[in-house]
Amino acid sequence: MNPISPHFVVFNDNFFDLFEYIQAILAVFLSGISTAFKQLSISQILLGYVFYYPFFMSYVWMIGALYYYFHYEKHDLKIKEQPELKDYPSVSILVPCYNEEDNVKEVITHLMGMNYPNYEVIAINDGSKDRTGDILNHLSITYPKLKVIHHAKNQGKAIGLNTAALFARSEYLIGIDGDALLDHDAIPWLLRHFQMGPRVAAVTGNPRIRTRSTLLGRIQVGEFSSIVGLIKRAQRTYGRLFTVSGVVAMFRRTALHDVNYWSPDMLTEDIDISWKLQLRHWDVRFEPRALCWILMPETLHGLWKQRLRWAMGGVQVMLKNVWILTEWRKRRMWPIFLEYFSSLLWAYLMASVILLWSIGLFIDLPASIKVGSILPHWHGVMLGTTCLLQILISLYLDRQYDHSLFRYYFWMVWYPLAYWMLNMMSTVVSVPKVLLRGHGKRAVWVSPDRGLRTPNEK
Amino acid sequence: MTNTHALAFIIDSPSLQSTSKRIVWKLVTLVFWGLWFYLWLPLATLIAWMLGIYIGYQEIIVLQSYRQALVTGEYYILIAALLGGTLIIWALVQWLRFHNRERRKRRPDIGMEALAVYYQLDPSDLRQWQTAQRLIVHHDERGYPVKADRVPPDWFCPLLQSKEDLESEPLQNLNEGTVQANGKLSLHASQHDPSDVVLL
Repeated sequence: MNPISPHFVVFNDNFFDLFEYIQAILAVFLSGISTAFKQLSISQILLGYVFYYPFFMSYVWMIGALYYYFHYEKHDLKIKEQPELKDYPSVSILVPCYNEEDNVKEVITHLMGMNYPNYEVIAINDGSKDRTGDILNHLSITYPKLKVIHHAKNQGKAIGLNTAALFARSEYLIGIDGDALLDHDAIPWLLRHFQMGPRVAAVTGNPRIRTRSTLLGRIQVGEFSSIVGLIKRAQRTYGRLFTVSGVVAMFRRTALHDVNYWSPDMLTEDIDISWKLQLRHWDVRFEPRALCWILMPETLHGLWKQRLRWAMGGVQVMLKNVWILTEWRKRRMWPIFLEYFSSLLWAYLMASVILLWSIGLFIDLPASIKVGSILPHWHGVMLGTTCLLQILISLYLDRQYDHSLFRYYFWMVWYPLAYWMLNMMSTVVSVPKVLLRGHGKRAVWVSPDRGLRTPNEK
Repeated sequence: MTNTHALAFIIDSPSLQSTSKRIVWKLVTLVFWGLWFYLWLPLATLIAWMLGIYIGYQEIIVLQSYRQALVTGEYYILIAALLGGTLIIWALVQWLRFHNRERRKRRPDIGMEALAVYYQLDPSDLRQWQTAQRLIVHHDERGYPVKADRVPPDWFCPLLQSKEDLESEPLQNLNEGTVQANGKLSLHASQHDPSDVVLL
């Protein structure tokens, strides 16, 4: 790069160029990290990573999701149609509940109207301290399909699911949350995958947000399209998923048995079970037509707690599975592992950039670590445009499954800026928290914020 | 589900927030849109230069600054295409290799016997528990179920943690419960003999 070249006045400012960055990355592989540092300063390497990683990954997600859509989804059955199944085996819907007195009646009553001839509902009351247990008992009088399991002591969600899997009479189990409304047509959509191949162990559905009153709620409508929808499609194009959605997923009990069921010590049991199944070479799929209507936090505090738990759960699973990098037979999960590791690294490097920039405002730092400006200039144009393009594509792919989805585009301007910051901070905090937490400690329930609802909506 | 049904589930009631909150959030979102346009300032500058043809001509054509943008852009497109292309080729190869070709035989479904062996339970107990409509389940320290008992529909103890709890807090018998118009259960608690439950 020639800093006195006139076009940098317009196009490159104090940034650097992609070509040099690639040279530096190659230098790391070819002749060690010291050569890379000779070509670029530390601050340039940091800035380069925090820009290039989300930028290029965004195109990988978009291209992967579009491929999935045109290859598998577009010419498949529409959501208004019903898939034909070879047979209609018994299905058990497992609903773990902890202090769900506000939601459980609505959830169970809704489950009684599933469009499927052969199913049971198992509600697990995991030592709730409110009236969840008595509401469930009363509902079981009205609904013979409902089975209620009370835990004598609070055991955590994973053990609730394991207990229900043991007492279920079906090979096919659907796990939903105690505040989630499963679409009445969801069972055949999920089940058809299991009838397509014996390797299918789990199929995750498409969670849609119900709570849309506040800005935070509306952003999440778009976020769930761009994360759950777009990334899951792209990951299916690759062939492996980072995680099923714990709020709606169907499992084959034989496969769960093969991997010793859900782990009680994992903070996000859904990420963990997805990894366990795939590492045993079971297939995990995504079905966008299996909808599930969920409540999400609508306060900053609730959102922070939720994101921190997700980040900690991801880090926990990553640390648990570091060993796979030395096993050739587990290679199919390497890209998923490395992508997650890269996103963790991004959070830390982004935090470092902001920190160095802030310090640089007060102290004159050495040139090699000085971050002159965090305004990305032309790179900002490209990153900003890419983000909005990604959200646009994700809303396009999910448009048939939700109501007036594009009206949330206006609110989505927040997502890349404010939400990335939130996710960055939760990730940075999560790593030390997980390391301090140690192994084997039982994961406990958290009482999440479930958004704004009027009494008659409960 | 059609979109008409979907509407029934969506809770979109901004009026639940205070007016000031709604205004603040809207304003903040507008500020973020402003920030977004700020990110596009170089683009706006370029357009401005183009509008001032003379200066634009000088900067972009004579000093050839467009070249840098083109060269940088080319690399970006190339790398994005390379990454995306690799993914698609991978997906196509996998599809061609494994589409409609199942190498793994279906395992027999896990039966009650195997489940009972796994949890070290008596199969006949497990069979009974699988058909029960209401159960209270006790676990060992690993979280494995060790014991389960049927419970009647009017039984429930919200804070069943230990025998001490039972002795300190009287249980509620909820067989008098009625469902109100708003969907909430109205409960008429009565004293319950704790000894009934200790046997569980």
